[in-house]
Amino acid sequence: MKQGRLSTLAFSTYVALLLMFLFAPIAIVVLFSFDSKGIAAFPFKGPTMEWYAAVAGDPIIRKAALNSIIVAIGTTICCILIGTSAAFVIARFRSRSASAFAGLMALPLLLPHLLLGISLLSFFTSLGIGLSVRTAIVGHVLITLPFMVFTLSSRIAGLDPQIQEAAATLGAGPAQAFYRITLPLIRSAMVGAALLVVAWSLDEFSVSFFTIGSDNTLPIVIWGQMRAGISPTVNAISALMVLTTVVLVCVVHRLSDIRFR
Amino acid sequence: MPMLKRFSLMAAPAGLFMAIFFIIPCGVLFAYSFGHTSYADISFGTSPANYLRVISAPLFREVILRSLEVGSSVGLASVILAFPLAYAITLGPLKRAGTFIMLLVIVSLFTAYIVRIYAWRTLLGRNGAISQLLTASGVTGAPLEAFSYSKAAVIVTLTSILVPVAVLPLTSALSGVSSQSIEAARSLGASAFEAFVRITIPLASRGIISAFALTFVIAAGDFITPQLLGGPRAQLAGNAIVDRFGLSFDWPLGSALAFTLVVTLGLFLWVLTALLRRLGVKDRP
Repeated sequence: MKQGRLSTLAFSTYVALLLMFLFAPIAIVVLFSFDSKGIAAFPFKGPTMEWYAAVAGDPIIRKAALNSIIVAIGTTICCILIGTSAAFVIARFRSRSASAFAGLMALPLLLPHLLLGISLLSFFTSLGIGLSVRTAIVGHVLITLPFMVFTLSSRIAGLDPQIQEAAATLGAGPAQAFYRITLPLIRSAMVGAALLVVAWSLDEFSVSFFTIGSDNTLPIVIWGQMRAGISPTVNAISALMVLTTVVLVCVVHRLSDIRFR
Repeated sequence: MPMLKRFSLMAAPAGLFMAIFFIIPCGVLFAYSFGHTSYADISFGTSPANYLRVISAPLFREVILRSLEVGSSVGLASVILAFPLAYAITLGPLKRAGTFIMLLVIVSLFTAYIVRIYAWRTLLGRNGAISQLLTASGVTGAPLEAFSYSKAAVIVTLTSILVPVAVLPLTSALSGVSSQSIEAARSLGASAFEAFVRITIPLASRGIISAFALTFVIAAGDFITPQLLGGPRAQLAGNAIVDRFGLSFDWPLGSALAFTLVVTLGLFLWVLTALLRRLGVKDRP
């Protein structure tokens, strides 16, 4: 059908242009990270790896990268520990208190991160708790927990509750039924959601900004270098962070049963 | 185990975390907003003075109004730009490429906020790539100051960052629209356009409203983009709040400003959905 082909062409063109609007600026940054001029400006001077070498050799950046990884891993572990049972509550209980609980868990998604950041800052300060990587982990958990909980709960809601009942009938206790039956069924979704929490935490800036004190993560290093005037290593750090995101999202897509649509 | 006990046991870890690190901190911030500051001392109090200052100072009114303006522009632009993509991969002709397109959207969603703002600054900044290209090709004589640090630059950057956020609720709403109801309308004599306006859009209205609400709140509450790309005349309420928590060290005033902003954003969305409902749009199909 001629009209059908025309609309396919129109939609494909539109989607391609929109994706360019999303990715072109990032592509340019990645490109300039290999240019020897060191600032993001045309024309190119020549290819180099020196900015990557500079990133690898800079103790501040290495410390920040280590902190980013510590925060991401800490956040993910907390999310799994706290979030899994919460996901079951939302998926399996049908009461007024269960929906109030779901509402409470969703609330941080609806508020500006700025508000979460300054309230944690006020809270820790009024208790005399010093800001550090540890307080930043709390902030990151607050932001990523709703994502973890709702991703898992939609997976759990799709499971047939009769499978668990069958296990119980066959003599499995609740703990055994959970570890032998339910957990294997949701393991893949848990791994996928956990990796996305890692990706999110590595990239998180606004809450770290208020809760990490004088420690650094990679996004905070980028912020600092940007405010101080462009530094050439920002391109390389950015490119490495984008690469990490792409790898994590592709791994989730290939290995977990989290479907993006 | 009785139902209630099992519920409390399972809800306890996340419930306690939210109580300690979300509800109490918000309470502390709220208490600060009635306090005052002298030198380096911040004290709690019961005085509404900070709220009166927020309401009466033209500067604060201006940044809150600008936040509403930037937030609704970005929300609207994100929904309008994201809708055809969501439509194409659910009801439209790109269904088969949908998984790949969504993968790209998710990559972009998870790409660091700060990196994307930085990327736009290299494009739009004073010596940015766009300005250079235009100067080199002779379109403009001098670097483009007017656009680089302006409200428009903030809106473009935030829209680019938030389109993926709008895609998710739109895609899930549109994939709930059955193609049969559209075909039914067509067979009853509706044109493709009529069927789209009278069937598809109303059935997807809940997704449209949540896509707008999410992007609106994130954009209106942002302080990073205006700080790095906005210039002095495009600062938002978020910047005024951050200043109170940093340089000028007036946490009580900053807290009052933050609560005023959040309440204003909530009221704006509430009035908007009420208006839409009166126009016959339902937020749940």
